[in-house]
Amino acid sequence: MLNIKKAIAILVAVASACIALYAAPAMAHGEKSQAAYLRMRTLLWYDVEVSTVKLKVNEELVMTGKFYWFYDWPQNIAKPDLAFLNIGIPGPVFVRKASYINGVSGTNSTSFDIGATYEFKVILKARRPARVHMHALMNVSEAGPLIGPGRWVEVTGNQSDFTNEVTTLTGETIDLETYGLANAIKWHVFWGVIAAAWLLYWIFQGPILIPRYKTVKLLGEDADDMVTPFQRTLGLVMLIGTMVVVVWSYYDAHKQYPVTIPLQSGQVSIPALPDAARGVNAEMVDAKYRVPGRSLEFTLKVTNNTNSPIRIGEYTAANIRWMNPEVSVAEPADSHDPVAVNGLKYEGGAVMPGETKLLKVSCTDAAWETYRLAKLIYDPDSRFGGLVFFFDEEGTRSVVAIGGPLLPVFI
Amino acid sequence: MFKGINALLLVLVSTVSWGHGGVMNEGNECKLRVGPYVMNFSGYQPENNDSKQFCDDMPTIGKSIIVLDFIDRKLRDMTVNFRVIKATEAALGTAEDGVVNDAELAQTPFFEIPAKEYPTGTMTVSQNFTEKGHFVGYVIVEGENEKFISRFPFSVGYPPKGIPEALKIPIAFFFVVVIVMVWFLRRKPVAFNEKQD
Repeated sequence: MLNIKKAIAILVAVASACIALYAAPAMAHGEKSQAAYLRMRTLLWYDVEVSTVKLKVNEELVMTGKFYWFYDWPQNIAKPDLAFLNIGIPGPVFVRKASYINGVSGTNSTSFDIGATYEFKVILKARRPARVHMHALMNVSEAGPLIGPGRWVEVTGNQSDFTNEVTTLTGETIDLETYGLANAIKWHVFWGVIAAAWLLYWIFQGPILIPRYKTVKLLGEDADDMVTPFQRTLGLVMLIGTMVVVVWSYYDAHKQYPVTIPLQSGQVSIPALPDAARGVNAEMVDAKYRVPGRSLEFTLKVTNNTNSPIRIGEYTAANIRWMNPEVSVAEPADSHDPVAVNGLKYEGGAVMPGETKLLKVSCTDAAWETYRLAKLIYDPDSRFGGLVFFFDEEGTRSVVAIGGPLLPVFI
Repeated sequence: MFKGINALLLVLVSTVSWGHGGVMNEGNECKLRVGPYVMNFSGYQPENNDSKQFCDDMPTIGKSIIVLDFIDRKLRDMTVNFRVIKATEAALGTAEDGVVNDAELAQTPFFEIPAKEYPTGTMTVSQNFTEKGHFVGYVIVEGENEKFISRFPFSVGYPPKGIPEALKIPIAFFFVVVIVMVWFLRRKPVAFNEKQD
């Protein structure tokens, strides 16, 4: 007769194995792998710069920039009530010396306001030689990492030269690269040896795994007799010994280091920057994505409440920039910087002070496909977002967030 | 039985990459390799399939759109020539599909987009295929001191043969389940020895 429970259990195991084995390798990483709506409607980064792209071990690099928390936040993504500014680098090539958000230390986690803009600054110190693609990164609790623009940076020199010295509150200078390392190794070895000895002892004490299971079934109520009085005593000694060592080590550590601060358990609140729109208002009238042409076309109703005529110079979303070179010029910082240098065109000209006008904008580039933003058309609501940069005659910039639903078209 | 399961698992895990000549389906993206450079290859038949994307073969005749998106930025500074030549047979599914044939290139193409630069990184090709047939596509990219040619045979109007892609995994999974169920039905239940007094 078929043992149904056992058959179901094995079927589940086989199904799990099939799914696990079928998992195809990831063909992208970082900026391309996240869903288009997530990249366009959560955190929008701009003005991100690095102080240098080539440095030696022990030299410092400063990354600066701004980010805007998009007003039309997706309902299925946790809001940034608890977030931490970070830098995404493959491996410990740098150590972070300091970070600031609107000039406030970013050591602690922070809560941010939707619809607000902040500026950041992160100071890093080169630790080991490598060529890495580094990103600004915001870790949002329950939402995950929101990735900013990346830059290729090369570190040269020798890792053995690296030092990371700090002075503690008590005036002691320590090197964080090696501080406490010997102690950590000592305790790992200590517990590893005990665990291995305990495991080996039981491996050689009679049957194990399936044979032991069968023996237990065979002995029934007398199965406890398999454990000898000596083994029970040994178990008790191990239990008491472990508890004594753990308690003693805790009090010893507390005695040596009476003041410790768990940094990431704190949370600070940082006021946002003043409104970057500076009196310019832009509403989305309609939008469509021209599939074969790789072009987003939208109509904006723009009201200029400033004292100078304004024109559109740039549209940015998902760390990709579409430039209108007649107004604002930018070149790719490196081979992986997605800047469409001539990707933005619009009809309608300048918007005069006090005027409200419709502007027809098109943002064209292969990046819609190669950076997987076009996948947006398969979303249930196909909503997009981004920042439009207006410039007045003196080059002063107004940054306005726009967004809404778009329709895919083929003609 | 385990050999059968292993064979099925290998079939499942071998769906990562396939293609005709220069066009490769890698993961969920269709890519065209031209020398050291890579483009995304997308085929559309908007009158028949709305926004569905095809990788080289077009399942029906009618208006078709092929879009090449340059992944490598350097391609934006190079000229791209796209030409399609009529062929007598379908793609072989072997490495031969990608071998450039000079005699083919010398023929008058069925249609051609002359060499030109594409600064936005996107090349769009529209063509109305009025009857079904087999074709060979050529993409020729040329820069200051370099020239690369990619060949990819494709067919128009021939629906994909064999099991539809979307059904392969469910069918394979179904067979695994059936085999496992049969194996358990054949086995006698395990009975533990009674305790001896």
